[in-house]
Amino acid sequence: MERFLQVVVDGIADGSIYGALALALVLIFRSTGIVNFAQGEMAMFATFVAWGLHDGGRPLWLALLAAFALAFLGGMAIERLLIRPVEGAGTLTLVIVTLGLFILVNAAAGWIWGFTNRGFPSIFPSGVARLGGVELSIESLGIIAVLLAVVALLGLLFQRTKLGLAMRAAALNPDSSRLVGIRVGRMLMLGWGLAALLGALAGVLVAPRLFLDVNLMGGVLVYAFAGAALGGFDSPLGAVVGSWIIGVTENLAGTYVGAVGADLKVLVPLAVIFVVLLVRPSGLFGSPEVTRV
Amino acid sequence: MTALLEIEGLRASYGPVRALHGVDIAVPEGGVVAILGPNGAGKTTTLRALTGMVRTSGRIALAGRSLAGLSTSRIARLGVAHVPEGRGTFPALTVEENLRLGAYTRRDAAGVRADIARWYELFPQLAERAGQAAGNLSGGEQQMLAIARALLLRPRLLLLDEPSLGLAPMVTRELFGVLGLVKREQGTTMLLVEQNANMALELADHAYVLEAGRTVLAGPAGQVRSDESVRRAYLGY
Repeated sequence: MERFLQVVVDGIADGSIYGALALALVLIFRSTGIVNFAQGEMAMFATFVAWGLHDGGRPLWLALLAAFALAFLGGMAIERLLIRPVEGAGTLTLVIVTLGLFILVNAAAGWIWGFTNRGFPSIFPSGVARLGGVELSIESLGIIAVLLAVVALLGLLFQRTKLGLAMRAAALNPDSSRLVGIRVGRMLMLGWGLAALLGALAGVLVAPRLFLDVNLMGGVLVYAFAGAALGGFDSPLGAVVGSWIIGVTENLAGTYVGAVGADLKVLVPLAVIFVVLLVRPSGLFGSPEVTRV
Repeated sequence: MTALLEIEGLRASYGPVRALHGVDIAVPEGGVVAILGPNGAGKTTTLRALTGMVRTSGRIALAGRSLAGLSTSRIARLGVAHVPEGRGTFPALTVEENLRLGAYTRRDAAGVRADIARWYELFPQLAERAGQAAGNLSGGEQQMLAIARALLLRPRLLLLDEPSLGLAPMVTRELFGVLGLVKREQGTTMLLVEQNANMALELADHAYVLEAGRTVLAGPAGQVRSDESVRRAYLGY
């Protein structure tokens, strides 16, 4: 039983990391109408920035803050400079731009920091905490707490502030938004900045669990896709719940299904994407009228 | 008389197709002006030109200030509220959120709350459904929401594009009753495009008739109403 609870909590922690990236995907999908394939690479780049600063002798918290700030500004710059000029050009063009960005950011990171593995420090102490007689990893609990805080903050932003309301309006209905005086372009930029920030968070949370290299986010992006597809690509709540389900399923299957093991557990999210698309294309929490992919 | 809104020689095209060939309209401060005309005369295009939604040439001035080349959101922040055809509401957001978005440019939170409360009094249907998605409202309720949304901007100029489109006669009458109330109580300046010429001329002080992208007739509402050709073409008797 203790083992089972440990696996579930680790699964929710993994799912929380996928959830942060899935939230980034959903934010951009809702406002720009596309899946940003470069989201993971942007996150990897920000994580490398944090690593570089920390490796250069800065304290970890300062390195992380600087990386988050850079991610936020970088996300806004990408929207303004790369996405907006092709905004009206159709979904396919936009998707190709994000694929190009994927390759560009990946190559740039390799050029700057090389292709070797780096260790990345965790912000959480190692060790376990005893909760109701069960030993649980402090890192896992910390990651879950961070994601819950992020979800609460996003909820406050989008549900309780005028800025959040304007961002939702701009995403839903740009023409009507302009008529009430909202600067739609600025809201989209802000959305991309926020998404990049969430991605960077996923990056620095996952890097200590893996090794930091230019392919850091490849796997995470697949899991985040699966989580967002399962929850519904236009639902932030769905993205988080979907990612938790993916994380827990992945860990349970890896632990208890002998045939799956650690090597084949990456197949779990792919199977989930496949089944969801067959049975309920709009996801658990998504609205069915979404047509673009 | 200096007009709040002056349009002179307005021309606009959709690609190679010219929609406006020279429209002249003046809307005095506090006045209500109706634009009449057959389908395709350029009525909607004229309103869209005013809020920067189509490219135009010619002069558009709000209180002497040119609106040429300004973005739609900038024009809204100058105090022009536009209720477009199709209403321009946010169907996925709640009624309350729609109203709050109408007041997006305002900084007086207390005033906004008071205005929203006043609209709820005026349209109890909206108050009952404050927390529901606007898309669930009936057509008439959505149009009332759209007008309330626009007036929450506290506009200097309200543009209304076919507010009665698709509404039952009774609902249309109620709607124009409210517009009359707004005119009397708040003195809001309005430019109204309307197929229901009878209702429009009752509300308006002045009227313009557009045909094929040109102003062909202008005058006080009563005078336009008694014009033989207008009567036959738009009033149906």
